[in-house]
Amino acid sequence: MDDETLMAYADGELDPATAAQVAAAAATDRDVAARIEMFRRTRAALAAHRSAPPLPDAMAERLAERIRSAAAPVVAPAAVATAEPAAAPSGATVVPLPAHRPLVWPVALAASLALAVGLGTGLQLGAPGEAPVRGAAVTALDAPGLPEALATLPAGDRTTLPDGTELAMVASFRGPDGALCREFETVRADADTLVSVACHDGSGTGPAWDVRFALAAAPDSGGYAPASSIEALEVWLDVTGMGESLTLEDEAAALAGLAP
Amino acid sequence: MPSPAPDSFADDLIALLPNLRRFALSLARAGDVADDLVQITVERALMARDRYDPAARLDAWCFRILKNAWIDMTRRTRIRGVSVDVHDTPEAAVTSGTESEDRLMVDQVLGAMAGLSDDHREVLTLVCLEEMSYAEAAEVIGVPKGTVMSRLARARAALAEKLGIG
Repeated sequence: MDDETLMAYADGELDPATAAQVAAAAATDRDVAARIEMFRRTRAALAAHRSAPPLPDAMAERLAERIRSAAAPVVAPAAVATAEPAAAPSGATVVPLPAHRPLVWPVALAASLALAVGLGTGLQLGAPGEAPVRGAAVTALDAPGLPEALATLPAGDRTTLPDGTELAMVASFRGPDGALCREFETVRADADTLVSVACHDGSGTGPAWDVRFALAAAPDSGGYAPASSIEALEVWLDVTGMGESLTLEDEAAALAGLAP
Repeated sequence: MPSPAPDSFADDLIALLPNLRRFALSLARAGDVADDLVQITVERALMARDRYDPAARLDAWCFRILKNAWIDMTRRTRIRGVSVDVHDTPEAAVTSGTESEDRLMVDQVLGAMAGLSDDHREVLTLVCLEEMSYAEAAEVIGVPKGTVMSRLARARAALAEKLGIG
């Protein structure tokens, strides 16, 4: 009998007939019995570890508070489905997105996103009539050479734009509308690191690239956005229905497809 | 004002936080990276809440989110060329025991766990600590059930050797 079967017996994962066979074998074969005992004891050793409290109290309290506050607001789905921002309850911000799922951003997250989102046409924050959120990020696409770099630079490569901006291409995705979208970071000596996602507008009218997400992040010592500041981006990618990042081959094909 | 339907999602999620961090540590080992993973997981779980099927195990659902966040994080780290030191961090082995004997046992087990491969630590955490079935663990990890079983059997044999168990 193989180890997997003996282990499954120790774990109670076998069907009754097979379990009976193993039990019979264990009754007569000391090695089989010892092997089963080994699987039982390794599980028991780990089970003893189960009671160890692994979460720092401060973090547990902060997250618990976050969860409770996020779970509290209840929004009638019908009100959101109209994509009418005025229907949003006070304190929450509805973000109309091209995705199928309308959603309400928890306030804390909305605050962190408000730092830089609000540019581009794909995303609007705030109720009608409010001034759009503006920040240093708005300059993102103004950098000379950036549209060209977006159309050619493979993920993992870096370049320096004519104005001295360091550009690192991070990844490519397909948006929910099929548009090619590119995640990149720009680093300038006199400004915060920007994490941005721009999607290609294939309509041929207006600018070729539309910045749909941008977030200023205090750089770590290496000049890159620290992992924790990518959190908002991760959530954004998730809720907007961005696909998995493209392989380099698929990305190359997609970039070649952009050429006129 | 109609009161919201009774819903234990928030309480259940809060109760899961220690489990999420333990699973995060089994993947990332470095404590600050694990904390980031737990936070990302909480945000995503709150966002995706309407897609959670209450009939499913909440822990398995959250572990899948956490695992995907870890994959994203390692992918980004790789692309950015920033090294996250996940191997030489003793923090994962630090815990607070109450009884000295328990403490000794826990330290031994954690020390042995730390010496295992990432794949082995992950599957051991899911099945032996979180008490998931092989099928549930397979879904979280994203491999076939047979792979979970062979991996888990090897992991336990390796753990037994380190702990001096028969």
